[in-house]
Amino acid sequence: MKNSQLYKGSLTTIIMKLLEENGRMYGYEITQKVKALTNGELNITEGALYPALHKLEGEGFLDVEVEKAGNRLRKYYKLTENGQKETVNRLAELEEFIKNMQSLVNSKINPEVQF
Amino acid sequence: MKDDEIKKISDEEVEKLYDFTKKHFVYYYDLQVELVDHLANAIEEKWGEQPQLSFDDVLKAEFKKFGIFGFTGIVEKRQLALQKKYNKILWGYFKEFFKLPKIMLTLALILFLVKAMQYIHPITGGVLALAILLFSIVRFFVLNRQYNKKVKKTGRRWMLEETIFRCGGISFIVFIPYNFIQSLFKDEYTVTAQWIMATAIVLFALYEYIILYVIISKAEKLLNDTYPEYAVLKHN
Repeated sequence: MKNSQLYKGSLTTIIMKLLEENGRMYGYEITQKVKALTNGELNITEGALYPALHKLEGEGFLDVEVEKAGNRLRKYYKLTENGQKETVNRLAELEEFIKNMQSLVNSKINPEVQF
Repeated sequence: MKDDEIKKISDEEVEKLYDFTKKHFVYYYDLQVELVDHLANAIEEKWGEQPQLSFDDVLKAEFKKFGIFGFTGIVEKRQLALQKKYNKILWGYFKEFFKLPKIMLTLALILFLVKAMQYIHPITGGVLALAILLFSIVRFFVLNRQYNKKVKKTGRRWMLEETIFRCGGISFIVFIPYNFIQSLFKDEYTVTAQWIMATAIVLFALYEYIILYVIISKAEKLLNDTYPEYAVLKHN
């Protein structure tokens, strides 16, 4: 993942947001969707995606469905009711974070208030 | 290139992918299913761009994306997540013994044990605790044999099933500290000590009962809830 340190904490929120918009998705689809949405800038690694999905599933935020896709089985994830509530909370938290970071990064030292 | 013109993974190659995950230490079927589908999708996508590439070459390149530890990190973290789930289930059943109506049984057992220590012999508690422990160890090995036989027959290992049949690890043996066992075999106790001991022994018995009987009896349902593919495969 590009600049992994900066994105790391937001991975689960990104996943939940995508599931909220798209209903159910499978692992590979999530990586591709993120790549497409960020024009290839952000690349979720497989080693980070599946542990994050399994953790959310263990916490009861995601449900799984399995279907036959051609000659193999495919595992889909979707938000549970609890997961939907949690998504709203996490998105609000992330937006707050972005706002605070913006004011921190963009704050220019105003020479007039300096002595 | 149109979608139906893209080279697709054959049945034989799907089998090769299962073997590949096994070769890279993914022994659990639930994880194999997910990783096989992921690798297959990635390979087909690559074939869409460069159809001349061989299956083995693309697979090698895709596997590299999982990093130097390959699938190990995913397996370990999945294990942690399921362990947590197991503990949550265990705690859920345990709590029931402290709510009405089951709390009556818990209290009756404690009272019964205290009386037994007072009227029969103080050593009753110690003997009972040891008996439960020995019985649990035997039951644990019987369950493990059952599980191993099943794995041999079906050829598939499910991580949650393994956690259930291994009773969430060997914690049941280390559950009682050894100096506590020593203190169980005294000839005399104060009344407070009798109550503490009786409570501890009853808690221990409940814990063993839940991990060795209650959760095992619910295994099928828990597995069906966790793994939709468990049911899919069973009916095939």
